[in-house]
Amino acid sequence: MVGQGGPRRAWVPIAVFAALSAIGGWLVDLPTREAPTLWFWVAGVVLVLGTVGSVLVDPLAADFDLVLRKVGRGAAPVRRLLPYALAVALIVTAGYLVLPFTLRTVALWTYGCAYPEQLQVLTTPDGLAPAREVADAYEERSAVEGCPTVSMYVYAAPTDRARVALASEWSAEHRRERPRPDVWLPDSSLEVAAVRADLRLFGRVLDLGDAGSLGSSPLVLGVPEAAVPITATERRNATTWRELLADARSRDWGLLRASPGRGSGPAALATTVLYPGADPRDIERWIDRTLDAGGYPIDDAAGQLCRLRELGPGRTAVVASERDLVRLNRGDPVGDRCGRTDTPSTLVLYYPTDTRSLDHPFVALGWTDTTAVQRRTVAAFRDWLTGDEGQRALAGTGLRPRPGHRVSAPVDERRGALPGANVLREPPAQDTVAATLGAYDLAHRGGRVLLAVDSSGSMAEPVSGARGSRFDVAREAVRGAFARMGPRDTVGVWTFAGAGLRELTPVGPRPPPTADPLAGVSPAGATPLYPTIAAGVATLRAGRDDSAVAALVVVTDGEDTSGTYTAARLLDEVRGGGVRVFVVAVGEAHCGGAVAEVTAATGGACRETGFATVDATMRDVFGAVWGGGRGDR
Amino acid sequence: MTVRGAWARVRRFRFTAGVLVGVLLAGAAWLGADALRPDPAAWEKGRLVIMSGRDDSAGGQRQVLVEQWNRMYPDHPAEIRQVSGLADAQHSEMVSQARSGRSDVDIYNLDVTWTPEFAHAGYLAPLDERGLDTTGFLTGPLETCRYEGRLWALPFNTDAGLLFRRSDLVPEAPGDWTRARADMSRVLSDPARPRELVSGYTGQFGDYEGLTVNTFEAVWAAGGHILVDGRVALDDRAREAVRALAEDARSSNPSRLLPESLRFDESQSTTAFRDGKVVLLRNWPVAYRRLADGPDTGGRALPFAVSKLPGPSVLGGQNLAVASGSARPAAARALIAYLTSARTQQLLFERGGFAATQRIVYEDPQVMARYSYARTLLSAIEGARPRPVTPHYWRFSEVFRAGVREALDNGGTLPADFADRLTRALRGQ
Repeated sequence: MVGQGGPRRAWVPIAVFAALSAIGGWLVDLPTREAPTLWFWVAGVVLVLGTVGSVLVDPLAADFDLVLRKVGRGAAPVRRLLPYALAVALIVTAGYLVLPFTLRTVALWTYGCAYPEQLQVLTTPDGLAPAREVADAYEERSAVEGCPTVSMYVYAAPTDRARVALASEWSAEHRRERPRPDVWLPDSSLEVAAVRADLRLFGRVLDLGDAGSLGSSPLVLGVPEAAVPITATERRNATTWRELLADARSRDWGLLRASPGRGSGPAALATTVLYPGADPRDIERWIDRTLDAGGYPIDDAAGQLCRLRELGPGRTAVVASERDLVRLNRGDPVGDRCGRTDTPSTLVLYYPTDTRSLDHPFVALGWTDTTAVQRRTVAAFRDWLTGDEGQRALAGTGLRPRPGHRVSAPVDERRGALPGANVLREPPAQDTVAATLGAYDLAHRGGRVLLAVDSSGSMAEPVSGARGSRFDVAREAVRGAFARMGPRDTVGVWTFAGAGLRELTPVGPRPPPTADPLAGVSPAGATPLYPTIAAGVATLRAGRDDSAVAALVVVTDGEDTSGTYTAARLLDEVRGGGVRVFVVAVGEAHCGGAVAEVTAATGGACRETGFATVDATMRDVFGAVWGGGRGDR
Repeated sequence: MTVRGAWARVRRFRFTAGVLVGVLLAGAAWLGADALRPDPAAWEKGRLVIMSGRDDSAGGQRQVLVEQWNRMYPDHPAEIRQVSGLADAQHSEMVSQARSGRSDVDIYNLDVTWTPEFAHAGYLAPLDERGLDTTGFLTGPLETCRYEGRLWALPFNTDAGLLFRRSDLVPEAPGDWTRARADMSRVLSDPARPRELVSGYTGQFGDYEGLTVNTFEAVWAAGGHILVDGRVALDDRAREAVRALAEDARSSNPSRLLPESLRFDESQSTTAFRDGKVVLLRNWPVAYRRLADGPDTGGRALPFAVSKLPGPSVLGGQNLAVASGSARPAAARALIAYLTSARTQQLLFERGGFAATQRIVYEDPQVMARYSYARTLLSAIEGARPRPVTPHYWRFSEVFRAGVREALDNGGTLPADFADRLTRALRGQ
């Protein structure tokens, strides 16, 4: 019967049924907390079903029966049906529009945001800060009602480590160091090509996708403003590298460039633009003198720029990417040690006409178990980066965006750049780079290394998962390091424990493959770390010549127990002598206090590691020292 | 029926009832004992994978215990799949694994603050308490394994902050910060103080979880609140505590807080204390072994003593939980029970330096005799407070740190909308 209130009465069961159905669906959906877009559809479908269901329920069913019967008899019943139809349409529409929003709001207040997708992004040490800026922007931009839909973890690995890890399809050894990435942001497509070749060689199935460019950054020469003659400012985009270097040499400027030995794209490209028309040995000697005079690290580009900032305006020019130099000029943090500054460097950037660029590819890594959701998340990030908003974000980090997008701050005159400079956006051919690196191998100087291994009591402790003691593991790592020596490298071995030092082999040519200088040493006693560093530096300083990198490499699992040296005294004794101090701090040892100060002040480095990864860390350190790179020889 | 007959029927009934009760009790006892007794026949065969941060403890003691398990139960071998020791990397990798739906991980070793997140997101399988003996666990650490009334994990190791002090300069433990500040002032104003001593104290104020932990402790020590009953309730004392931190960081000649502390993590702050730069150090108990005399120090370690913090500590530690996607949940539960048992906890404490989660370890006379700080540590753990229990803790801590960092850079004044930011962060926004 249609009477008793008519359509108005029909609202009640329709609304109740629809609401109950929607709430039921919402509750069922709660454990999985699907994305809001799905919610929208779920609520809509539930409402429609609820409405249809409601017409089948008394008392409306009877009404509809009657209506349907009357519909067959003429137009009058249709008029009576109209209010019902309008009521249903209104409720469905209102529910469809309002309910999802209401449900989302209630869910947000009750349970908080749904969990975002996780995205792991690998980049290079130089690219870490810019990549984090872009990731932060994307997280914020992709949030819905304040809830992030993607959570990014951005981290860095030296290019040679990334290359080995990718070629191994991120084996367990590499997982101990870093998560397996979903996205790789190297500096240039040269690095991608190298990994593609490795993957083919090892028969791996990892998919690197098309690796399209996100933007570019040309290789430039940064010169302290005070050292630039006024006449030269007009020719910043009018000379070749060869002419520019000749000019720089005539003005007695120093020259900085990170060693290309660790596979760094910018360093390889920098070497490629420096060598044409010049004797590679001359170029390398020029760089060596600058590195030694300023106590600059050898293969750490960010470390070099940090040191440049510490030393203040001088007469040292640096070959680096435009992005890194405009960021330096903006006062951004550089590396681990140099924080943001209000008194930034003022380098003037030169753009030789034959320079090349880093093309900053985006590599979506398709592992065999990458899920469809992960692929979609990666694709959405790539699409954003290549769109207007992403390109603006990338430009803000100092990159030149893709064609069709505008170059903007910090690539501007204020930061020493020439935004309108005419430069090639691509890197050189792979063969050219390979030939350059071959020439570099012949041109760089050798390493003169004193290796001091801790033989204190704690080194006798067994290592879980390995055969033997900590000392045995270190001994194997040392033998592995010898295998990477080049023909111009020399090495000597000491141990230190208890009251002092013990020379096992004096500094000399590469030992035979069977040599095991640490055999027969029994760890016992205290850790005279600081006296060892002081004595090692003094020994290397005594026999120093400029034709080799002089480096003390200390492997220790402890801290100084001598009590005879303060940090200040140690620093005074080792600073400024042209000998670099590297410390491999393994197990409970840490890179802090005096050790951190000494290694930074001498252009060396301190690396913390576990015993399971000591071999890889030693490879890194010797890669930096022996010949200034090429640690994988 | 006679009285005797009726009594006989009652006696017969009593006998039957007695037998019934006896059978039930025996059955219950058998079932109960069975639940507690390892029953490898009921465990799924195959390799168990534990995902855990890198273990750099002395001798890799966790690995040693897993190897021992493998010898005992060769049909259920376990392996620790180590991921980076950095908390950010660890969290990202574990979440990524759990979300993929294709992970072969059976057990996650989670930071205590991540348990609600993993439980809420459905990455974990709840533990049935009826089959577990949880009576020996310390209350606080066990509570970090619960979320919304269910048990999701068992505590693998716990942690509470301690106050390390130069015992040659400050013989008595300061009971509160007023006393601690007075001690620092006295020592630093002494012209005969050691030359390398440059500041009053240090802690972990770098931009990572350490900043959250140290700030919470500073606020609690001042009697302030950040959250009450899970809701943001930032009060004046809390704001004052942050302001005091900033003042300590700004003070100079000599500074109360070692200036570099704003970049320090656990190891860097320990190094600073060890190098004699400060009078007091806030750190986790693991620092004790680095500072104490060992095989390398030859009796020349810095003189120091350990006490509870002037206020409550943050409760730290890690929990072992079964992955919801595990194909071997029964075997995984058994492995977790083994790794958290009293015996293994004692080994992890004594050999690896991990603070035990079982009370009995701290009551062992040998432990008390050998590790003088054990009693202090137990007391600190018992008084420790949890960080906010929320599935969005990761976000909360991020936002909290950003606000505190802003305050430390701007004279100690927390952002005006800090409470709103924290409220939104508790929802994951």
